[in-house]
Amino acid sequence: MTDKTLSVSISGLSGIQTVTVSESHDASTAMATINCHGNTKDVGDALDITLGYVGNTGHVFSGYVKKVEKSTPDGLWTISAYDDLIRACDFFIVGPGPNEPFTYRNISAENLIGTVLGMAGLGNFDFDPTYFTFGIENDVEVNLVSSYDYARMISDIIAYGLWCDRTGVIKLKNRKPYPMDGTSQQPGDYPDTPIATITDPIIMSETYGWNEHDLRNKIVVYGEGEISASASKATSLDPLTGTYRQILPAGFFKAAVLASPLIDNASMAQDAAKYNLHMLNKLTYEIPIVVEGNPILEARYTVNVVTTKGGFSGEFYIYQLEHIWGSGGYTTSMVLRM
Amino acid sequence: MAWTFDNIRLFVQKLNDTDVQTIARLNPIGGGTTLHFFGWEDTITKVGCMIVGLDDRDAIRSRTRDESFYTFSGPWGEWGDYAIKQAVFELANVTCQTLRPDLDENSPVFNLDLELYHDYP
Repeated sequence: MTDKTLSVSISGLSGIQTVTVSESHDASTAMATINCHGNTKDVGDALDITLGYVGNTGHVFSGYVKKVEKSTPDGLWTISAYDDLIRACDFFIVGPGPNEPFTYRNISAENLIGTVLGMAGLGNFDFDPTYFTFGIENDVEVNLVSSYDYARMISDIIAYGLWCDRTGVIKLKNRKPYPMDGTSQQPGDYPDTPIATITDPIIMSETYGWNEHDLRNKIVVYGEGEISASASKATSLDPLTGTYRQILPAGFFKAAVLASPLIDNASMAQDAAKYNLHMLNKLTYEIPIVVEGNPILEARYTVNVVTTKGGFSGEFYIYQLEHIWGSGGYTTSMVLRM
Repeated sequence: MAWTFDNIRLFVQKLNDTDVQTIARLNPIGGGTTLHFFGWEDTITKVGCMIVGLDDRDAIRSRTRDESFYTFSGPWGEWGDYAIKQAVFELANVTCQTLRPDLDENSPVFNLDLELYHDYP
């Protein structure tokens, strides 16, 4: 491999010692922590991080400073920042009164999410159509809940992903926590294109395993009043072979329950059950892996892994990711999933 | 020109500079080591010398507590401005000193090890 000289650029900070940027499929926001000797940033300031190597850097974070600390005697500043969705996490929706919620009728999932995120001052959206409409039979009521929690509840019902990308754009996509091939016949299911190829000469360590921790082969949905639906399957998908096989003991069902008064018609309940069963009824192949740092690597994308030492290969989804930059070198630590 | 630290006379026996570059070694599972260059440390200068008299000992000692840089000079001119990171005094087994004729013959002589940090602009 070629030797490299590390490079980092964060406006307002100098003498940067370490940078850590964390992203996760399941996390509400990306998070960055910087240790440095010189700081002009204050809480609430915008913060952008570009790092990598001299001649090969990439923008890995965009967000806001939430915490500033200075430690003595080492004189190090610690700056903590989160992406734009932190505003939705921090914004608590309060109607005119405790019994006077904001109400909506015949509103699509994407418009409802856009509305509650808009209350938090967010407006830079890239939403896919969901074809879910809420408030058909009853008003949708929103009150006394955080903007993010409400938006996330909606996205969970429809089995979509909700996150803020590195440019500050908030996305609502049919983003499943595994490589997608466009064959599910669900809206927004587009085949992934791997953003990088991971090979032995850049892998520092890896662990290969599979588990049924997140497997759910039965989904039960409870909606408003008597509305309910369920979906189940005795066999589960093995993504390595692309076929269904008996993974849990025969006759045994691990169930997940979705309960929300927002589900106010049987068709929506059935779709929610079907979508979530498709997402969850599968074996998870999981690879914690550490590679030489590469700023192009980003959670919620896929990579091709070709490793003779590890004994596995294929397209994997970046479920979690951490860029770790400092005197110990630049590495990217990931949890890959298939 | 004699060795001095902020005009305090030093009888330098040895002087060494230490320069360190910060390099991470990454060892992938398939292939050789990759080096990641992170930066470097400023020079650390260590001086082994002798000083004479309690006044000079106290003068050096006081400069370990004032968070300031002082000029270190030698036969080849100014070495630069340095702060004292550490000063270790050892009383030498000397009963009649002639290093400093301007001081009493029975003035104490100290072996002094200085660790100095350079003030780079």
